[in-house]
Amino acid sequence: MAKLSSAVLVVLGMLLTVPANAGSISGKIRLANVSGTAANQASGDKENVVIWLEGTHDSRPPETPIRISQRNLQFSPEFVVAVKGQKIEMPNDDDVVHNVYSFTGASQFNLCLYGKGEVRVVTLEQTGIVDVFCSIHHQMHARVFVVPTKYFASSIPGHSFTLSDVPPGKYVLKAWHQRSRMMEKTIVVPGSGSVTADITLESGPQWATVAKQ
Amino acid sequence: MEWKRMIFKTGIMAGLLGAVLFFSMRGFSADEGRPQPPAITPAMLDSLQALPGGLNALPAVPVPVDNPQSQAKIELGKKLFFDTRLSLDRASSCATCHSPEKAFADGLPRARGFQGALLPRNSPTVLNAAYNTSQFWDGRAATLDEQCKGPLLAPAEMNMLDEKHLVDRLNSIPGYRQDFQAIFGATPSLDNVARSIAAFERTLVTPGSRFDHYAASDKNALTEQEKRGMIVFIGKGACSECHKGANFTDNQFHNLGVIPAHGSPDDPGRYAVTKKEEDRNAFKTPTLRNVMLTGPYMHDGSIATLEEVVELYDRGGGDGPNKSKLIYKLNLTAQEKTDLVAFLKALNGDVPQVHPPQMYPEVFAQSTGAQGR
Repeated sequence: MAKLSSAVLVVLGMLLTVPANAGSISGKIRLANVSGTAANQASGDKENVVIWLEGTHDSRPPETPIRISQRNLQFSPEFVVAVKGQKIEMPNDDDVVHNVYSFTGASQFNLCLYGKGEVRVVTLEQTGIVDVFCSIHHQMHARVFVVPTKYFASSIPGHSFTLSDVPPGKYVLKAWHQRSRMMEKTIVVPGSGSVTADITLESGPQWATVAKQ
Repeated sequence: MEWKRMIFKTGIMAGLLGAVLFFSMRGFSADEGRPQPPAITPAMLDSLQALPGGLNALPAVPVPVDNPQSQAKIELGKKLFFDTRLSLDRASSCATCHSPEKAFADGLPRARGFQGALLPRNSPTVLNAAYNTSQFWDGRAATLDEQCKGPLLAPAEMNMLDEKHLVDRLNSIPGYRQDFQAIFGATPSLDNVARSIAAFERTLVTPGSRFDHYAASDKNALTEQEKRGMIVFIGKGACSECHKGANFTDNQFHNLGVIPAHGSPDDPGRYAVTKKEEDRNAFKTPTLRNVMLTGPYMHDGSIATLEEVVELYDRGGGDGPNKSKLIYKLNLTAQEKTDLVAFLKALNGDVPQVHPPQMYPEVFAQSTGAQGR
């Protein structure tokens, strides 16, 4: 009896974690007509491309928090993608104190002074770019890219991306890259199997427009 | 002519537009048009759960299991520490370079060794050396018990020829013979001399600084300025990256990129011990406790004042090769520098008052010549 019920639980669990009815989106990322090199090497922002879906029904953030540590007077990593409402843990792993803060729009926060071994947590509720600094060590800069959904991927130009376990439906696929125009296209995800969506990023208005979403 | 002016104007407009686009496309760079960051206040320091880098009040002094402290051993060690008969020419003792009147250092840029020879390095203070896990500027000894054998036998320092030479000297002094017998149940040996001196040195510790009181929970023990200085110490100055722990040292070795001044030797530093290229010209992080009393500073005593030391770190050290990544330009303000020095002054502890003890008389065998071995 116990064996049977645990088997049922396992099956139920599988049903819950992997939607029976889900597809995936994948494609290659290419830069076209984008001049210059990574705009701000120091920000660690380098060449990140963030791809996400809009129009999904599930907006719950993942329960696993993201971590940005302060190590060797740098944020590590210096670029993360977070889902709106997802916890971001910011441990201090340095033998000096830091004062982590952001002045970005509605996402302002000030974690005040804290030392090694302490972790402070922020939750960002506004999509777009949030710049994070230390008010003591001005060279420290991290960037959090807040997306509205857990259906996102991050990659770099010349590489590919995959969004998996996407419920079937019609979405807007968006892609952001620091030096390119925001890309968006409508995409239909079938009940199963994958759909290809190659992304070509072109030069144009900058990321600032994303932050206003 | 009108069309030429039009083209000219359009050109300028296009140029300006290009410049605007170029700068806006550069994205965000640090400190560019950023509002003033949130201020750090002394109250925030007071509310820290723990100080970074394990900075803390001095704990009880660590004692090695094979050399337990005893009053008799400490007294013997004190006699040996001050006894000039532990040098070949009977002219210098440990206290010559580690004088109680100079905070157990000598106040000189570089130490004077055997018969006044100029040594390559500055005499470090013995105060709180008992807390360190590496001794000497290059860390060639780990413990005080090991360390104090070095200068006794070094030709450029006290210049005793070998262990037998030292033991013969001590055996010619009945008081010492009796002490070693009573304490170690043995005749004098280099090891037992070292154990005794180390036991005495373990009493040369300085708790009770205002920093210690602050760290032990009295938040009023430091002034507002000293607290601001401590915020620089543990924050923007990143001093606590290396000057950490209860004794303000990581016991590690760092190269500040300082090129030796004219006339100073090119000292290989830690490289002499490890033979690793990355240790070339790297020296041990010294304690900062009682630092107001232990100048001049750096391994070669080349900097006279703390203010100048702060300036060196502020400009990111020297231009020498192999400089540590932990040394970089700090951009401290004049106020931050003053505050930092004020904090360093709060690291002065209660220095033990030590007076040279009465020496045991020597029994000469006149016929063999008193000045011999």
